Amino acid sequence: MKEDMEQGFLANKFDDWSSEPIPNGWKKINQVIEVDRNKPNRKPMFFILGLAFLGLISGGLFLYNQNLKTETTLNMVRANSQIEIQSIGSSDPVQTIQSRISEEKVPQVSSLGPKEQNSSKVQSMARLRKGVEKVAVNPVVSNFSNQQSEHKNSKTYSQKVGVPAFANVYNQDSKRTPEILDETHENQLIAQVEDQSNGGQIGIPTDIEGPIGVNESSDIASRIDEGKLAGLPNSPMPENIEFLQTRLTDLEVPSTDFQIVVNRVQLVRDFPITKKLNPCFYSVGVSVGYAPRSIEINQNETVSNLAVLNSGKSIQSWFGNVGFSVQNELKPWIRSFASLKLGVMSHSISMIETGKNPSGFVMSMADSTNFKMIPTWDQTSGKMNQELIYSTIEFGLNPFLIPSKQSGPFASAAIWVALSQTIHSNLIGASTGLQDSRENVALSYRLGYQHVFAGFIRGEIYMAGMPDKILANSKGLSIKPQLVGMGFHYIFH
Amino acid sequence: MKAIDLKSILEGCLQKDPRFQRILYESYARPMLAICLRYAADRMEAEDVLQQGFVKVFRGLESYNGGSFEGWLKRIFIRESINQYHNRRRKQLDYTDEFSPSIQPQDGFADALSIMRADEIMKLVNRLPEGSRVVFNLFAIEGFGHSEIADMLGISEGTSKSQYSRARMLLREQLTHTTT
Repeated sequence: MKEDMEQGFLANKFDDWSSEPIPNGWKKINQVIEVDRNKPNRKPMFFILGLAFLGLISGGLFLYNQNLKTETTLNMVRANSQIEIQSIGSSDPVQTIQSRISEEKVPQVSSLGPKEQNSSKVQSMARLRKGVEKVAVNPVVSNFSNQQSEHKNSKTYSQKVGVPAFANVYNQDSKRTPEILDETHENQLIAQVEDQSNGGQIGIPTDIEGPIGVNESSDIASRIDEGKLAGLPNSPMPENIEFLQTRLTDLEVPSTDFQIVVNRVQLVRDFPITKKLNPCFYSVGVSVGYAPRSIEINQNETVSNLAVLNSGKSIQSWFGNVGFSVQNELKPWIRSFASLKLGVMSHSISMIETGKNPSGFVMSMADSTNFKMIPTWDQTSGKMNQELIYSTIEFGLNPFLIPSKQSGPFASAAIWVALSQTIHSNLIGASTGLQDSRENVALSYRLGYQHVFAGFIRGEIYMAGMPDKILANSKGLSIKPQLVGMGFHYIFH
Repeated sequence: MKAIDLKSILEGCLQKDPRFQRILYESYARPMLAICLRYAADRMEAEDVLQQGFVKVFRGLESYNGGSFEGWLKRIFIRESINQYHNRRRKQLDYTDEFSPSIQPQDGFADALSIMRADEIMKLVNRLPEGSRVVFNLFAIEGFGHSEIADMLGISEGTSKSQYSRARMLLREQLTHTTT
C-alpha cells in the first residue's frame, strides 16, 4: 500500500529544522536540576542501609535467641517434690545449686573449738539463716530421713516432704547451668534451719519468692552439736557430707521439730532448665549463574527495524555474587532467611539493525507467469554490553524435606539494586529498539533447592527471575525470566 | 558538534557540572523544541515539555548507551511529548474512533509535501485534528511504524493507520485548496 511506503518520508526534511531560541529557558531548567546536583548519590547509601538493615535483623534474632536460652521453666508439680542439698565445690554445675548451713544460724557451732569449727563447715551444705519468715506450717513428714540419690559427680540428699518442688528441677537439664553461682545473685536455694521454740513442723512453702528456711528446734540443734563434738573430721566438703550423712541418720528427729519454710527462690531464672528456641544459622558464600536463552523475537519489532541475531543466544547474562545470610529456625522443619549479596553481572545483546526503508528490490519469478518483488534492506549488526555491579536483599522461606540434612526447597523475594554500571555499544544509529529508561531497582524471585553437606556446607541450585528493570534491554524483545545458578555457603553459628 | 566535543560535554554532564549542562542544553534546545512543537497544543506547552525533557535527560544520562546521542535525545523528547499528549487527551475526548476516508488518497501527495519547506509543512500539519496530527508526525516525520505508534499512543494499529489516512486526506485537501 502506498501509505505504508510513506513511513518517515519527511524525516530528512525536518532533520535540520529547529525552533527559535527560548528566552530564559536554561534558567528554568537549571533551577530544577540544581536540586539534583546537591543530592548525594543514593546507591551506596542504599547498600549501606541494606547492610545495616540485615545486621539489625541478624542482631535482633541473635539477641532474641540468647534471651530464649535463659528462659527457664519451673516444674511446680506439687507431688513428688524433693529438696536437694548438694555438695559444695563440685565442678558439676548441678552441684553448684546448693544450700548452706549458715554459721550465724548455729551459734553453738561457732563456739566450738577449731576442730569443731572445721566440722561445722559440714553444715554449710545448707545455709541456715535466722529470722526468715515462716510462711507455712503443715505437718507432712514425721521423720527426717536422708536419701542419697545417684547423680553424676554429686551426692544429693533428699527429703521427701511432699511439698511443691523447686529443687528437683535441677535434674531436668544438668547440661547447662551457666551462671548459676553468680555472686550477684543472692539467690541460691537457701535453706534455713532456725530455732523454733514452739516446735517445728514440715512446712509447705507457698511463697517460692523467698529463701528456703528450715526451722530447727533447739532440740535437734543440740543433737547436731553433740554429733560434731563427737568428732567430725577436719576434711573437705565431700567427706564431710558423707560424714554428715552417717551422723544424721543416727539422729532421731521428732517430726514436730522441723519446719521448712520457703521464702524466696531467686534463682528461678538461672535454673538450668532451658528450652532452646529459634536458633539462628549464619552463612557466607558464593554463587554463580547464567541466563540461557532469555529472549524471544518480537515479530512487530523485526518488521520495523530491529532483528536479533541467533535468537537463542542473542542475550546472554552471567553473574556471580558473594553474600551473607542468616537463617532463623521457625520450626525444626522450616526456616526463614534473609540475605544480602554483592555481585557482578555481564549482560550482552546482539542485534541487527535494518534500514528504515528498503534499499532496493529484487525481482524473482515465482513461476512462468508471476513475478515477486522482494525488498532488500541495509543491515548493520552490533553488540551492546552492560557490566553491572549490583546488590540484592532477599527474604524467603526454606522448608525441609529431610530435616536432618537441612535439605529442601526454598523460595524468596529479592530486591536488586544496580550500584554501578557501564554500557558499551557499537550499534550504529539511533536504534528505536534500545530501551532508554533503565531503573536502579528491580524486584525478582528465587526458587531452588538446598542441601547441607558435612553439617557446615550448604549447597544450593536455583532459578531466579530476571531483574529486567536494571538491565539494558531491547524494546520488542520479551525476556524469559530464567536465571539459573548454584552456590555454596559456609555455615557458622 | 564534533564527536569528541560531545563526549567531553557528556562527561561533564555526568559530573553534574552546570557549565557542560548548559552547553548541552543550548546545543540541542532548538531542534528539540521543534519536536515538542509538533506535538504540543501550543508553544507554551511545548516549552514545558522541553523543560521536562531536559530534566529527564540530565537525570538519565547514565543510561545513554553510546549510540547516536541525537537519536537518543529525540526519543526522549518524543516520548515526553506523547506523555504530555496523553495527559491532555485525558481531559478531553479520546480519539479511538476509526476513520474511514470517503475519498482515497491520490498519488502525488508525498511528492507535493516533499517539495515544500519544513515550516510550510508544519503550518499545514498544525491545522490537523490532534489525533491525526500526532500520528502523522510519528509516522511520516519520526519514522515510527504503526505498531510502535499504536504502542506509544495506546491505540490499535488499525486506528493508527486510519488516523494517518485521515491526516493524509486532510492535508491533501489543504494542498488542493492552497494551490487553487
